[in-house]
Amino acid sequence: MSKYIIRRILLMIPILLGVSLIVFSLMHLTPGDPVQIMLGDFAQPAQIEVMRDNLGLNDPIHIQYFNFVRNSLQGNFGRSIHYNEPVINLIKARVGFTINLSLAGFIVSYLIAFPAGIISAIKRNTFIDDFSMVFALIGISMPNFWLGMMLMLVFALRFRVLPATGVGTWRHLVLPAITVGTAGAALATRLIRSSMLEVINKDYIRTARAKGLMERTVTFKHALKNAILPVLTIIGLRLGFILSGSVITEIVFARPGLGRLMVDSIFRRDYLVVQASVLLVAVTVLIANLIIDLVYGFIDPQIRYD
Amino acid sequence: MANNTASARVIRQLKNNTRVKISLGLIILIIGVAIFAPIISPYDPNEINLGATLQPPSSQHLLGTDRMGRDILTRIIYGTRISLLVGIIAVGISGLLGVIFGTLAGYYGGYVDGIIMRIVDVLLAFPSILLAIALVAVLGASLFNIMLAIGIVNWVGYARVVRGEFLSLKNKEFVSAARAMGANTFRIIFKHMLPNCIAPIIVMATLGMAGAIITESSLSFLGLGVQPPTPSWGEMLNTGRQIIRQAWWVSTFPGIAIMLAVLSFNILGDGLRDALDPNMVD
Repeated sequence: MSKYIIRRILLMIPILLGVSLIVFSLMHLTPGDPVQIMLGDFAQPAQIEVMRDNLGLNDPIHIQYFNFVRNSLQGNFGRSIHYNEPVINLIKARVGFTINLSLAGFIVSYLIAFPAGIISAIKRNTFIDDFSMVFALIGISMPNFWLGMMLMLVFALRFRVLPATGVGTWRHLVLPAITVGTAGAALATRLIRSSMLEVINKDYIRTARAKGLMERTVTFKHALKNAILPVLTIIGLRLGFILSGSVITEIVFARPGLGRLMVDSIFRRDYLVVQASVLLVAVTVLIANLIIDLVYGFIDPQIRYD
Repeated sequence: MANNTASARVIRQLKNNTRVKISLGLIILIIGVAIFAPIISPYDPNEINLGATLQPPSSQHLLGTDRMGRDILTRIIYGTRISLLVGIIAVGISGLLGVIFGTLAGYYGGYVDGIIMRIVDVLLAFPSILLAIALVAVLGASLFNIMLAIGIVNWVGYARVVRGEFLSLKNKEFVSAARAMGANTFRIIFKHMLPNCIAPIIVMATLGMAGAIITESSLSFLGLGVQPPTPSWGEMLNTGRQIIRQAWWVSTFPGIAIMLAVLSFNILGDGLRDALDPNMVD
C-alpha cells in the first residue's frame, strides 16, 4: 500500500509542473505587453520599466518560470495592482465562500443523485425511472447560471422566501447550492443508475437473492457496495466541474468569492490575481483526485497492482 | 458486407427511436431559424426603440423588449446563429486536434504516446470552462477567440478515444495484412484505422456541440464572449441579470432557448451512442 501511495504522489510531480507551465504561459500569451495593459494607456515608460523589473519580466524566460514555481510553492503570487495587496491575502479572504458553496453544491448533488439513481435502477423502465432520466437530461442541458436566475426570480423575488443575493446566513446558501448541485446531480444520477444496472444482473446478486436475503439487504449491501466504485472516481472529476460551477454561480448571486474576484480581475487586467486563482483551482482538483485515488486503492486492492 | 449490415442496423435503431427523431427535428428547426433569421424575425435585432423599453410580453412583442426597446424574440432568433457558429467551429477545432494527437499517440506509442498523454493529464487538471475563461482573459474577448478557446480546451476527450481505438486496432490482423501488402503508414491510418473511430467521434461531436453552446453562453454571460450589441443568448442573460428585479422576461426566454438547443444535441448524442455502440444495446 505504501508503495502505491508513493508512486501515485511521484506521478503527480510532472503533472503539477505541466499545470504550472500552462498557468505561467498564460500571461505570456497576451497580445502585446502585459505590463502596458495592466498599467493602462497613460503609464509612463519609467513606470513600466519599474513594473517590468518588479515582476522579473526582464529575466530570461526559464529563470522567470523557475522563480514563478519557487514563489508559488511559498505562497507568494505577487501583488494585485488594483488592491495593492498581496494576491494571497485577497484569495484567503474570499476562498471560504467558494469552498462553502462548492461543498453545499456537492452535498445537494449527491443527496439527489443517490436516491434517484438507485431507485431508477431498481424500478427500471417504470414511470419513476423515466421521470428521473428526463430530470437528468434537463439538468445537464441547463446553463447553471440561468437556473440560478430562475430560482432567484421564483423564490427570492416572487415569493420572497429566501434572500436573492449576498452571504451571511445558511439561507443565503440555499439557492446557490441548488444551482451548483443540479447539473452535478443530473450527471451523477445517470452514472449511479447505470453502475447499479451493471451490478444488478451479476451472479452474486442472484445468489444473494436465492439465499433468501431481504431485498433491502441485497440492494444496499451487495449491489450498492459494488456499484459505488466507478461512482467514486467520477466524484474526483466532478470536483473541478463543481468548483467552476460555483465560480459562475457566485456572479449570479453576488457572492464575494473566488469567482467574483477572478472575473473582476480579468476586467481590471489584474493578471496576477487571475493567474493565482487558476493555479489554485487546478492544484485543488489534482490533490482531490490524488486523495480519491488513494481511497480507491484502499477500498479496492486490485487497483494497487495495476 | 459486414459494414453494410452494421450501418443498416444503426439506421434502423435511429429510425425507431422517437427521442432521436424529435431531437433531430428540433436541430433542423434550429438550423432553419439560424439561416432564415432575417425573414422570420419580426424586428431588426439592433433596432433601438426608446419608446418601448422593458415591455412585458404582448401581441406586439411576443417575448417582450429589453432595456433599449429591442425585441427579445428577434434577438433570440439571431442568437441562434452565434450559438451554432461557435458550436460548429469549436467542435471542429477540438475534433481536429484530438484526432491528430490521438492518432500520433495511438499509432506510434512509446515516448510520443507518453508525451501526449502527459499533456492530456495536465489539461484534465483544469476545469475546462475555467481554462476557457483564462484563455479568453489573456487573448481578449471576441467571437473568434471564444471559438478558439473552447476548441483548445476540449480536444482531450477526442484524443483519448482515438488513441484507445488505435491501440486496440494496431495489432489486429487486417492492419498487419495491410502492412504486409505494402500499404504505407498514411494509407494504413486513413484507410484502415481512422474509419473505425468515426462512430465514437460523431457521438462526441454531437455531445460536444451541446457543451460548446453552454460554454459560449457562460463566457458571454460573464462578459467575456461575444460583445454587445451582437445578439448572443449568454450576453442577453448577462444584461437580463442586471435588471432581473424589473423585467423577468429578459432573463427567462434566452435561457429557454439555450436549454432547448443543448437538450436537442444531448438527446441526439445519447441516441447516436446507443445506436452506434453495439456494446450498449441490451
